[in-house]
Amino acid sequence: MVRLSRVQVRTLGFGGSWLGQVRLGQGAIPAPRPQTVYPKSEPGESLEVAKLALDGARLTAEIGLPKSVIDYYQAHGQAVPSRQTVKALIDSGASISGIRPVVAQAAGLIQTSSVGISGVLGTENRPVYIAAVNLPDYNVNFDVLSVAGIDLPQQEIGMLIGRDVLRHVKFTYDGNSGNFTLEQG
Amino acid sequence: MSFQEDEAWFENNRAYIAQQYQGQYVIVLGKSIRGSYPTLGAAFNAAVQQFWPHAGFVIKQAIAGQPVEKFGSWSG
Repeated sequence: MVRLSRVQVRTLGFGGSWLGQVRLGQGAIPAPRPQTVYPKSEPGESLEVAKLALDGARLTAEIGLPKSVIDYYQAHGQAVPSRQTVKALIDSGASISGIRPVVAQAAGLIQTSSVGISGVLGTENRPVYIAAVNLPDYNVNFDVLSVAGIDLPQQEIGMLIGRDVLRHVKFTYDGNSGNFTLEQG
Repeated sequence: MSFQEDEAWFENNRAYIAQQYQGQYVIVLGKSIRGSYPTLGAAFNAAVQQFWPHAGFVIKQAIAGQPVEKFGSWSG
């Protein structure tokens, strides 16, 4: 058997804690043995550039009930479950958007279906909720969006924004400047 | 009639429903189609106004194949 040794490539010149970290998507079903890849930096590269390369496109998302449900609560004098503010990650590898089930419960979302989620370990059935989603930093708003309830491996991420959202917006990822933009058409 | 039973009923009859409703979003309740709409938003809002919160409802798009979604660029 040939035993391969780990080869270290150039690493970030700041923040040694980033060494050895790699994030390959944020899927619901973790890969059994992720390959170790070290982030690279180029001479003179800014913090924003390295952060975007490592963390991905992160933004604030507000998750709440669609207007028709809020109207029902208000018409019946009932308290409306509060909108949940979470950190979201844009994942162009995801065909549908997803949120943590605890976020769905806290926002009082209604489950309307379930869907099979394909991963390296097989297909898992997950609930589908209807949510109103606002991305306030970019003035992008959806009143009725279907989102799957998924368990995300990174605790700080509450939502994955998939291609079902990206198909309705212009998403620009500028790795050279360390910035990204979203525009709703 | 439970949510799971309505979902199972839809899947068992998916081919026929897809032929009848051709891509529309349908409301399923009590093992029957209770409405069809051109968009998810229209179907959801109608279902809330007609049935919620007294009955749980299922909303599905009437297409032939059962969709399987993917998360993360490494999945599938």
